[in-house]
Amino acid sequence: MDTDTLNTLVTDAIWRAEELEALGISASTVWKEVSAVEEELAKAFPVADGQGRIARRGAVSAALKAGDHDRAQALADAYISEQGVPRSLKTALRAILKEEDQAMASRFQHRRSITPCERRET
Amino acid sequence: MIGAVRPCFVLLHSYRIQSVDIDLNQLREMHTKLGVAQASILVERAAFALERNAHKPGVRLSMDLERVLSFGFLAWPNADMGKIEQHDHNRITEDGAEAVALALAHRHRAWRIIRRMQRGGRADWLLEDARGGTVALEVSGVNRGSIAARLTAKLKQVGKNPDVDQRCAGVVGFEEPTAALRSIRSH
Repeated sequence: MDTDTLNTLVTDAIWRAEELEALGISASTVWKEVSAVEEELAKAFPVADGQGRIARRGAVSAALKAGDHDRAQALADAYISEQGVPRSLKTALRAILKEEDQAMASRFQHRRSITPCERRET
Repeated sequence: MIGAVRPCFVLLHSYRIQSVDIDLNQLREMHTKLGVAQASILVERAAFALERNAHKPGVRLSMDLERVLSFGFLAWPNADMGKIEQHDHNRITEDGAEAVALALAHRHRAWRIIRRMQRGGRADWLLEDARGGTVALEVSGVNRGSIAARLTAKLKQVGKNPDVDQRCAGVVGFEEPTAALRSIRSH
């Protein structure tokens, strides 16, 4: 698939995800689609190209929006270990993951940890 | 002969105000990589944003194009205001601004869409200029009041984009139709 088509697909998918979110509807399935197209764009453009860096960040970011932390981590690890990856991109990818971790922690900060004993009782 | 050439030179290099007219009906022809449905919704929301402020197609649009003040006339297909409640209020302002800013970016700079960027990407759109260089465009809309503060904020935001050749902010005000397009040149 050529990059023009991929760019049209990613534009359309981002648009649909934003529309759903504006309506308060979960868009995780669409963000998964965004991540997949961004990954294809990342394969098409080298990391030295601006569009390649945008796609790499986009693939990781969209995977997190889809709720797939494992995929986001795996993509980030792969992109960080690429040859010639600029330090700024490594920092950006780590920051995206860290931001998600912090958001997750704050979401559950008031949740009391449950001991194995309590789990058996419930 | 010299006298015949001089007016041409003056015309091309002066900062005289020039009219830039924009017809949102042509958005998809300007940006062929924009999907048909998406272009249609952007234009429809621009129409809502303008008509809920009591404007009619052909309204005068004040413009700040790279700090040069200008004006033109803005046309759009009439909106069915009976459907406005089906759209989110803020999406009308933001998407309406995107339609106007994208049209202006094409009419003024001949930029075309490459793709949309995700939120947090320090731009809303990745565009290409006539030489194939990349442009990050951050867009915002203001339903009521001045666009000055928003323009400053958006320039600051897009200025952090590390992946493009040029960075630009476009802000559109709908109360008194106003549009600004300002670039930060790459180093």
